[in-house]
Amino acid sequence: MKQFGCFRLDTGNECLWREEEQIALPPRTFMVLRYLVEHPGRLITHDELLDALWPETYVQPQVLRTYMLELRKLLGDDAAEPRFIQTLPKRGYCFMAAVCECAEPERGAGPSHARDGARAITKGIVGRDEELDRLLQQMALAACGERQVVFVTGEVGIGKTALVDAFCHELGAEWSVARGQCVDGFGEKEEYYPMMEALGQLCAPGSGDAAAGVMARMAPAWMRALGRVHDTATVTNTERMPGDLCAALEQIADDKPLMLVFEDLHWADPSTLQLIVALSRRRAPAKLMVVATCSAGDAEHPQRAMRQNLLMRQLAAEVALGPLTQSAVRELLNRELAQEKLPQGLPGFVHQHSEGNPLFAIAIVEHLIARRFLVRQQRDGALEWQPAGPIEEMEAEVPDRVAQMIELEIESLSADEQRVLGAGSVMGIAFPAWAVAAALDEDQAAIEEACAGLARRVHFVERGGQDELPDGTRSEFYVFVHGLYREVLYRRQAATRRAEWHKHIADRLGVMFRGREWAVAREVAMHREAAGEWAAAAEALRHAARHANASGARDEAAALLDDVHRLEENAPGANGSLAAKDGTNAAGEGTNRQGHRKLQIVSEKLDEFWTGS
Amino acid sequence: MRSILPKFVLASAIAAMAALTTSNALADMKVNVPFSFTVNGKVCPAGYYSIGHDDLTGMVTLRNESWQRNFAWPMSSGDPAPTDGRVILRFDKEGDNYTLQSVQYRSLIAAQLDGKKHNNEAPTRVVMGR
Repeated sequence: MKQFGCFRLDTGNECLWREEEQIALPPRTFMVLRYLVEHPGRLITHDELLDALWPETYVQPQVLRTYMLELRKLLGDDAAEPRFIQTLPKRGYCFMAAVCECAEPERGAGPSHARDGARAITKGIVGRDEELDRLLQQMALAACGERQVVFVTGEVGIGKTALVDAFCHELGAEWSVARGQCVDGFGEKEEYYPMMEALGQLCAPGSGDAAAGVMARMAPAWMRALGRVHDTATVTNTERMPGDLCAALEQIADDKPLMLVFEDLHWADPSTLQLIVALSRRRAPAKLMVVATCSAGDAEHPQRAMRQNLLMRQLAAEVALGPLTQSAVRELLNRELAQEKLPQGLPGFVHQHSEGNPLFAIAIVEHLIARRFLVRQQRDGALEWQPAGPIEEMEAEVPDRVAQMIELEIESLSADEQRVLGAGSVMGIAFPAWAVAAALDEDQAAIEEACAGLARRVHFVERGGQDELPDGTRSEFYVFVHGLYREVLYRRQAATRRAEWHKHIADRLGVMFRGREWAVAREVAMHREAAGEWAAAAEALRHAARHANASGARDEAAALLDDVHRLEENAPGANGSLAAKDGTNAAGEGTNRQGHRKLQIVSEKLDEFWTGS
Repeated sequence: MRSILPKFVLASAIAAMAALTTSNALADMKVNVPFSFTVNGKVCPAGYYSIGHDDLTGMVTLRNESWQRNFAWPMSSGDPAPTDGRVILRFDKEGDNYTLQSVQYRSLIAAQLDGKKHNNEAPTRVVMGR
């Protein structure tokens, strides 16, 4: 066993220990870490690492970044100030920490002991007991020969991989597990890429010799593609036939139940998808289970149609991950901060801004620490994380890591699509197509089509419902699935562009509701204010106040004039003329001092003012 | 004129009613409301809501699993066509404020939940069940 920092790499059990806590690692991630730890203190080039981990297979060096990100997260390492893994740009990596040999743990403290402790191994996940149980139920069916295909779905960062990792860890030695990672952009270039990765693990020299024997006998072309057939002349047909592989996998599963895991199936190639369909539709009993993670996005990707088809025919099951509850977020924070008692209000703050997304929740905590909103302080003789100020005053900024991730997704869209979403972000979380059309001064039908296309293809936008327009027509509105996406999109727009869009939307509202502008006065005022048209914003509210007063809705009129006061106070260079003109300044001040009494005063003043005007 | 009596009930009351009438309950529909809104003077957070209907009592319920309040209203036939199978929440929109105006559960509707008559003068936002 190799020790570095507070970690021990357990090569016997293929896991990592942080003091007494066992950390589950996917097989490939473990292999990357193992290679780094076994070669400390020197440059390990991309090619060296790739040759060691994917012998005789071409893999793009970018794949390594994914593993390094995952390892840094597990080790609590920072790429900017690394303690363990240093990136040497364009060359490779260096494992910086001192590594020494240490004794094996006592028997009973290893994985089997951890598994006995019910959910002890699921420390990596919180709030997913129900979903984990569902996977285990499916596994029990597969163990009886009833083959299973399960899709684990949910938005980016919701914890699909973490759940599958925890699940695989529960399987123990009774199951063979082989995993394949689908990679963005590989689907079009390399057929069966994730399947080949999984087969490489399944037939690994040593532990996979039996499986390799079956493969060589029943699916030799696949073994040849793996580079595991030395006498290539014996393989007459070099085409990888799906039927051969299905039969070979069933045979392998007959000796020992087999779990195939495919990650990010939304990036898979069509051949891999067809292979999964074939595996699910074959009739013969097989102790075989396929678990595939996929995000909900891109309705046009064949993965979505394939998934729907299998679900509809009850040939597959779906475990859909929703947002974490506040108590689960609390548990996550307990773990991330290694602190039982959390500062009052922190779980609520993180839950609200992450909307229950664990990746975003962790990023928010890291951000709060980096910005020193959360600091370590001595309390009762121990160091504890405490807020530097009142939690309600913490800035709800988008964490840098999340912002970069979202930026990358936005950059992959066309310029027109970015413009549509940018204009939508001006409206808020929900954005109607008519408003986007107004902002961009474009045809509404064309924008409706563009938005519908985005909702089909992009995972972070979905159809929300409809706005009923005053002329009796309807316009679809769309929703950003997470507020952070809207925030990043909004921040990307130049201030003058945003102001222009707000102005256009206010103008369109004025046209749509001509003759009854009072009905949209607050919305118009909001857009005029954002456009910097303070006087026009105030006038819209005053107009609505007049209408409310004439209708006998004095409280409403008073509330609208209150908004005029707020505008007056916030307007650059404001001198109070707007409010003074309507004679309600005194009442406005009374609001602050006397609260409820304000409405009465304003009503009285309104009587005087409107009668006289 | 339909008589619509909105009733705000606590979760426990709904739970008791649901327990008594489980056999009459139809499958709940999920609705994702992407904005917070007001109903019967209570502020409801954005999120997924379950809408269910009980044949026996004729009540429709609005529930948010992570929230402590539920709502129930009596339903009556109305504007929706008898063949309408949709579940629809209709909101009045005023600036950034939304007020639940009606709940349609297939061919039944609970309307004027905000106690106002509607003449389609104000902006309306519609969210449908899935």
